Amino acid sequence: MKALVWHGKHDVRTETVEDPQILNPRDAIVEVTTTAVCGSDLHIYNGLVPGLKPGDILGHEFVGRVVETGSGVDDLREADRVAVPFSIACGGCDLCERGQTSLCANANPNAEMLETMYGHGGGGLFGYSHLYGGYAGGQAQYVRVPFADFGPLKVPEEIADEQAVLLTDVFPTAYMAVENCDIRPGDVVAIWGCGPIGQIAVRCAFMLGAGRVVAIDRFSYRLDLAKEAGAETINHDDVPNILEALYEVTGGRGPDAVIDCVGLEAHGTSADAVLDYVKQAVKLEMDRPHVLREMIHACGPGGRVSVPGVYIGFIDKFPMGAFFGKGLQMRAGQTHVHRYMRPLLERVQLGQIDPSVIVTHRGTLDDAPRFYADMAEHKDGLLKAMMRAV
Amino acid sequence: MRVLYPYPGMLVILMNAATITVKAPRDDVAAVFSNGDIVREAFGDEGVQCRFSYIDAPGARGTEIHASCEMNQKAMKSALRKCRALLEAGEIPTGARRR
Repeated sequence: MKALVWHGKHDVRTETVEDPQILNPRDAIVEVTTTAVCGSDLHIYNGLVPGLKPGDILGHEFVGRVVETGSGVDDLREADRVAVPFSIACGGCDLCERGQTSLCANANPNAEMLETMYGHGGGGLFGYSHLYGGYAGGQAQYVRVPFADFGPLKVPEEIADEQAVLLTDVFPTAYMAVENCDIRPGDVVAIWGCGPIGQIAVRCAFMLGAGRVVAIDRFSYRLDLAKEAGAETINHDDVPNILEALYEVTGGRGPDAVIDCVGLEAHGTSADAVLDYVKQAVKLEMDRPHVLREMIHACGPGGRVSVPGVYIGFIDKFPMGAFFGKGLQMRAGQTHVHRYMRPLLERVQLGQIDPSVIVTHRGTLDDAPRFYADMAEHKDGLLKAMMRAV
Repeated sequence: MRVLYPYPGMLVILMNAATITVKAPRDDVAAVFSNGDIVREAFGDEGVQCRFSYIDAPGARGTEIHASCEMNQKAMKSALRKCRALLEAGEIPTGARRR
């Protein structure tokens, strides 16, 4: 089969590899019909995620049809059309039962690697390093789906592939990020980063009752799309001080909630941002947390800080004084996709939202290396690339 | 495992310890572990030397399994994770693509 294979920093190739096999009773093999490149895939592409091995297959956003099931999978049949959550979960552990499926206690066969870094093991992810289980990803023609009796969601035929793919990560991630803000009617929500997650977060914030949403980015094509959804926009490069700009927009109060849709590769020209670049380059700091600092500084007293953007390791100069002094609350983490897929599918069916408005580029698996490169360099207005795999 | 010789003629073996919580009632966990199959599958032959005790976890979270063994602690933890996966998920996860 064809698959997108990681060979090193800035080196991904579409290659022919061996097809996956059923290995456990609860496995299924899914023939991928459409897959997407996620912003978090770029952290791998840019060499910032540890635990990759040459030959690893990337990708965690995909939809397809079941072609084979293990003996323990009763509720899926051949040809069923399924959307597969990017996180892998067993459904039987305490965390899964509580709905925190991205933290599943049993899905990560390499849990000891994460335990060394984080103190505890964590869940499994498709195509996202051996830290998260070493599972082959879905930027491929076929993928082995573990715990297939718990994860995949059958998708009705009236839902387009592109909409279904966005139910596997982007839409649930944006929704959970906004839900983590505990929005009260009329709240002002500020969102850093208008990539795919930020765009959908703008729409979810309004859906969940925000009075005003402020979208912050440095690319006008992204800000324009956020504006179409009703957001007020701030171009980060056009204002000397984001705090002042947010004072202006919020009447001096600051946002009630802030969302970091950027993560560990924040750009910036301030002293702290430049220092982050240097520290990351010489491996004194794993992540570049400029946005996190800026959000905590800008968030209004008693506000909520939501972090769907990916962070991997250690950061410096975390403004704990401001965080404590303003009585902020923070929630973060990988999305518990299993919890959100069905209700969000219903929202799409009801026409409340069409997440596929963010799709700007379409191609095949052969185009994947180009999409990665263009996305990393923000070329050609690429916001979200979808690839046919069949 | 640590071996101490406090004074000539006396040997003290300190077992390693590891613990894990499994989402299952204590009696069920104890019954499965006493059977031995799951222990052999997860711990290998060294597992037969391990001692297990079981405590109800608070908040209806299942059962804490406390193991003491001569195996190194990392291997014990890994084996306990496999036991938990067998009990909760019915299989041991693998990131492999092919046999």
